[in-house]
This record gives sequence, C-alpha cells and structure tokens, in this order.
Amino acid sequence: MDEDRDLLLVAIFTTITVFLWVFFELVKTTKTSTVARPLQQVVSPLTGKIDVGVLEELEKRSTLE
Amino acid sequence: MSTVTHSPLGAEQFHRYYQKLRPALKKPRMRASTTAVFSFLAMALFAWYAIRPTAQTIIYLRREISDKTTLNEQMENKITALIEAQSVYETIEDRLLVLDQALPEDPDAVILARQLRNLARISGASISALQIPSLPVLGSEATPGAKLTPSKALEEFPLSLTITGEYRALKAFMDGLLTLRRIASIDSIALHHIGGEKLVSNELQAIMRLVSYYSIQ
Repeated sequence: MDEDRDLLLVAIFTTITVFLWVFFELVKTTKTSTVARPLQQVVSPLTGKIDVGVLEELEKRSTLE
Repeated sequence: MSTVTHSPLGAEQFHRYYQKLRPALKKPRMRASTTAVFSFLAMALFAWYAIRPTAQTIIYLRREISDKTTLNEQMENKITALIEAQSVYETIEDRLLVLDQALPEDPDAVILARQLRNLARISGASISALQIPSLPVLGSEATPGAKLTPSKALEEFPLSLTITGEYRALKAFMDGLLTLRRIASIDSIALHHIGGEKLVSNELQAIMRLVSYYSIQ
C-alpha cells in the first residue's frame, strides 16, 4: 500500500519538476534577445550634432607659423 | 535430421509474472494508482518532448518579430542621424583644419618648437634651451600587417624650455602660450632672477615644463 503511494508521489513530483523546467525554459527564451551583439553595437544611437563652438574658439587662437 | 523447437520458457515466465500481477491488478486501489502514475508520467513526457519545443518556437518567433521591429526603428533613427551628421560635417568641413592644427595626428614637435620660438620673439623674450624627449615616429606602417594599435585617443608628450626676458616679456609669452592654437599646457614653471640677489638687471629666467598633445585616431 505504501509502495503505491510512494510511486504516485514520485510521479507527481516528476511531473511538477518537468512542468517547472519547461516554464523556466520558456521564460529564458522570452528574456533572451534574438539580436546579435555586434548588430546591437551597430544600431547604437548617434547624435548628429557637432560642437561648432569649439571650432569658433580654436579659430580665434593664433598659429604663429 | 534436427528439428528446431522454440522453448516455451519465455512465454511461461511471462505467464508466471502475469499470474502474480493479476491478483494485484484486480484490486481497485492498485489499478487506480497505477493509472494515475502512468498518467502523470505521460503528462511529463508530453510536456518535455511536445509542449516545450512547440511553445519555445512560438515564443522565440514572437520575440524575434518584436526584436526585428525595434531593430528596424533603431536603424531608421541611425540613418536619419547619419544623414544629419553628414550635412553638418559638409557645412563645417572647411573649418576642420583648425582641429588638425590644435591636435595634429603626429606629434609635430618641430612645428610646435617653431611656434614657441615665434611667440618668444613676439613677446620680447628669448628661448635659450628647448628640450623635447624622444617621440614615436608615426605614419605609414612598416609592413602591411603591422597596424598601429593606439592605447588611447589622445597622447601627450612633455617639453621643457628655458626662456629669458623681462617680467612683462615672460608674462606675454605665457599669455600667448594659452592663446596658441596648438594645445600646450603649462605643467610647471620655475622663475629665477638672472643677477642673483644683487638685482643688477630686470632679466628673469623661467624654466618651464609644458605638455602638448596629439591625436592618434
């Protein structure tokens, strides 16, 4: 009688473990990005503005060549 | 003539096992628990070999669609930014020469020395010694495979110079140094009176340590 109960418990826990494993595998798949790292670097934001004030400041300075 | 006879031992053995199991299987509790155990194991098996790969594929594809949509937006933003940057660059392209003069790609120590000499002449001081330490020779690679691997974007090199002149001339030289297009900062100055404590002349001697920079990008 006890053997039956043990076997049932093993089966239940095995099933629960497998379902949890499947769940975490799916969570991992959801969280993992499908974009490769080099591509992520390529699309990193770029500001198209150049600090012209620095150029103006440098133009005011003398070269003494 | 030999006859091949199959031994009934295997069948008998299975029959014996079945005979042993039959009374146990007749018990309703045993039958129910066996059914439950096998049902659970079947569920676990299907979850691992059927549900997991299917669900994983669905989630991966959904994630990929989402990622690619975001990537597409980022690429469009980057293209717009690049076009904007190109137009700004074309506007100021002619003025970029000042950057090369301020931060040249090579140390250009000779040019800097010439500028310091001219500055000293304009200021009314005279340079009596100018010392530049050994500098790396930059330019084209010696062999096609040899590439310059810069450690940082900006390199610096020290210069030490001894300049003589009156106080006003030395001040004008230092002011001029700060307004020189080629970037050179004053690291240290040591001022001495040439005549010693007798104060026979107004001449001062300054031993200066400068630091200049060049870009290696």
